[in-house]
Amino acid sequence: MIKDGRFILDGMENVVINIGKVTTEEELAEQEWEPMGPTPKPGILSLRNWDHRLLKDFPPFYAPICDMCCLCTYGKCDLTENRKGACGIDIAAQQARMVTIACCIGTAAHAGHANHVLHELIKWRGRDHPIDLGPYIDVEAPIIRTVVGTRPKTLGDLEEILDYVNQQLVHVLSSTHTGQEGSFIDFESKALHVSMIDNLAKEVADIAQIAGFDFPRGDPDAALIDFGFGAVDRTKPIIVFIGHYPAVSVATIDYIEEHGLSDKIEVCGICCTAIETSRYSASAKVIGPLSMQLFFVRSGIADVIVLDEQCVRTDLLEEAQKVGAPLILTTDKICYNLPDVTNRDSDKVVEDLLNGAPGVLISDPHKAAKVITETALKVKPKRDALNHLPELEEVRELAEACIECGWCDRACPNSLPVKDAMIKAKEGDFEGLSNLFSPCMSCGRCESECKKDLPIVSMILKSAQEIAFGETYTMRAGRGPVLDTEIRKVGAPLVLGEIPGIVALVGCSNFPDGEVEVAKIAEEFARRNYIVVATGCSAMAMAMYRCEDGQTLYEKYPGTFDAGGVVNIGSCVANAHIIGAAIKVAAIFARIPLRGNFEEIADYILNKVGACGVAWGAMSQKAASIGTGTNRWGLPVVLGPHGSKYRRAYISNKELSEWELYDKRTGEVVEGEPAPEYLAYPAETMEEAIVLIAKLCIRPSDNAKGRQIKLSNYVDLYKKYMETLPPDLHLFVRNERDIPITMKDEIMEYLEEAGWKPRKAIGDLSRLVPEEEV
Amino acid sequence: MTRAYQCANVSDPHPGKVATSASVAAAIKRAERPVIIVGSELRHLDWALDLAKEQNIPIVATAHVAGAMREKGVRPDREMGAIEITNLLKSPEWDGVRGEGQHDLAIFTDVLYYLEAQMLSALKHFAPHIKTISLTRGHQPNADQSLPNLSEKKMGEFLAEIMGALAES
Repeated sequence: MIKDGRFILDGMENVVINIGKVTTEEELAEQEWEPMGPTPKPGILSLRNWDHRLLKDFPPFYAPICDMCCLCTYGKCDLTENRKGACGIDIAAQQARMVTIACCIGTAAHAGHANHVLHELIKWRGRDHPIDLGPYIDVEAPIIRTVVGTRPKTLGDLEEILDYVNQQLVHVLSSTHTGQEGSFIDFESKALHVSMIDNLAKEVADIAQIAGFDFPRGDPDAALIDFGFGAVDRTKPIIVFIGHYPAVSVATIDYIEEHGLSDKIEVCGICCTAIETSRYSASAKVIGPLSMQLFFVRSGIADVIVLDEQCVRTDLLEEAQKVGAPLILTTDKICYNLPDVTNRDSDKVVEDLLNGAPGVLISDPHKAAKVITETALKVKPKRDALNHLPELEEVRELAEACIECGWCDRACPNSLPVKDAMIKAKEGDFEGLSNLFSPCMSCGRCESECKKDLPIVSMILKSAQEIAFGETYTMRAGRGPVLDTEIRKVGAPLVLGEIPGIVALVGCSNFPDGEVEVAKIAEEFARRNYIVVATGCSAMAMAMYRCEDGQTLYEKYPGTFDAGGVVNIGSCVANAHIIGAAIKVAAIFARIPLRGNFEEIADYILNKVGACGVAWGAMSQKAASIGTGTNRWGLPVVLGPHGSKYRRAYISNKELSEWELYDKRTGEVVEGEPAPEYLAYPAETMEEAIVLIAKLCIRPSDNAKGRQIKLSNYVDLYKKYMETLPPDLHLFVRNERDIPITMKDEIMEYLEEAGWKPRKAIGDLSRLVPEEEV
Repeated sequence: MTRAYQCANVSDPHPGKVATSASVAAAIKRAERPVIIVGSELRHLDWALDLAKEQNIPIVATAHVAGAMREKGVRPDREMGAIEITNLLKSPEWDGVRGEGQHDLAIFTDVLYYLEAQMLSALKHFAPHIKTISLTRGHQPNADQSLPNLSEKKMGEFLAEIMGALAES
């Protein structure tokens, strides 16, 4: 067998043969599947021109949340009124730097998950375990193909991708050190770069999970999962998993099944681990998004609390102790100063926990599974005797201690009327507290601020117990990627606008007014035949709602990626499949080669795929990198009002600037339309967001029929909330053929008043300089 | 010292002043091209509409507030998102709501507290040509001048005093 190396043949000592690399048959096939594009494995500089072009049309808008820099010992440096820091940085570059750092943290969290899950699965299944996404998916890894330029076939192939991810993350993070980058635009380019790397890490994580845990492979009819506090059978021992990394919950379900305990134990989850667990087993229950975390722990329902990683409350050790539930930590990300008992005898660990040890760290999922299950079975009878929430009379007595200082209202991120609710509770009227349950995100800041140390979250939960414990819902299990067959069906109508858009509800649950808004947004667009997709906490929040006919959204609308579908794609890492679907439109419908061809694909998506992300409750650094990565591919994102605290939006200025784009057919420079108008925009209210989403799905490639459909939705929604026609309507009507027929008279009258002139519809626009000019 | 209404919202080594009804009235009188920005909380919409009418100040409705204004028979001068109007206000080239030139005073009322804090921060840093007044729920240190933290009743009185002071002047 020929190997790499340096060889000297016997008798020919003056001849040296160097073989640098032997090409295998598999590698030859890999070379032939598609010609390599211009930017495989791009570095920070490789796509900088694309970023600068995007940022020219969508310049960053900064709203500093802190006026200083506190990152080095020269500081604090005051950056107000054009002052510079000791290192020379100004306020704009500092904002962009903080955004970049946030995106690096988000990317690191997803990459940490991906590294962790991949290496665990390689231990379980081997490096050669195939990546098989089923008969309806040929483009198995659209992001990897486009960015890295390879097609992973086995779990082992994904290691190379993660090497590249880890390397790029180090380079971008290093640029945020004191005395490196000084330009806000180039910091933004780095934020875009590392967030694209985040997309890659998420794709690796979810492909590995699908292949290794046998999660659904794009199944539109994935199971309906029981959802809510009321869904768990409280007569059985209850294990709750909180976080994102599913190896431990999967191992626990296996252990439970192998030991014939399936009908004796309840397994449930909060946040993305809940979605992942229900992708593995339809009998697992979902409690809700991360906003339910403190409420559920305080309820005392869980007999054992298991944490893995990301978005977990950092005081859960203290909270678990309050309700007498053993806490089991399972990854190196969260250790809480608890002993690592991975190598201790499992039976002894269970004994320790039953004897009052508050918690342990076990990093081996299989060992953890045994301890979790056995502890739950044995601790349940002990915990049944405990009373976890105050009785209503106790709630009233606690409320009497309230001195009505009002700091609870002021500490609340949403300024909810906690003080008024306390005043009512003093009189035995618990309606005020009960009404807080839905909009409250159970962050607990009110309690932290309370001068009388009142357990306000517990008081709210007790007052709302009928709503909290009584209501059950259903959520369709996360189905994973969009099928190639689905893309073949919807590709043309999406690009031409006849399906008016994809609305992707993603991100965390820091909602300005409770979970119900994200469900209402979803319903508004599903009804209008948009394709509604969802992931993570938003996918869970959407389940906590019943339509007028009493059905949940997942019961009422089909799970197919098609007009009028409501599709739960999966957890945070499954967000990769939403970008993947847009890439597949370019690959499958437009036949654009993907391999190492980022700019052409992103340019296509920006101009032709009418899609809009909605991160209504975006809270975390992961949400920052998810959103920013989405933007680099040319997809706009609407944020909730709390998203303004990310410090930066990407907004065009349609009143002050004209866009110069290229007509791809002629190569001429033409004036583009503001479609989309923004890449990242925090809306103030749900109603504003709904109108904006409809507008941000408009694309230059819409044909006349498609533009009519999109404008009819935009105008109808604008009139619903503002009671008039949109003031910028003239910008989106290219000629009379674009005007919805049923609105023609009204719109023509408006256009005449606005001094509108028809213009040529140019569907094939580009921001890339034509080759002849290069 | 008056603290920010959302108490952790302290960002600035140079916080703005606590407004009095007289200082607000004086700033409005002094301004050549003021603008009122009304947000989604809709707590003092009637007051804002009265101020706009009596002082002939253009009014911008953010979020979906334009619908609520139309229900009262008022057509706002402009309707646009909170961040969009902030972006225009910070641009020296913009001709203002009525095309009469960039504004020199922005009066905010009823915008979500934390969103308004970000809007005011953007203007503080990037719009030296414009002064800001916050008349929203609670004190905003990022505004040049802002209400103290008042009960709803006291706030109503404060706003009435502004109208009184403007009428007198």
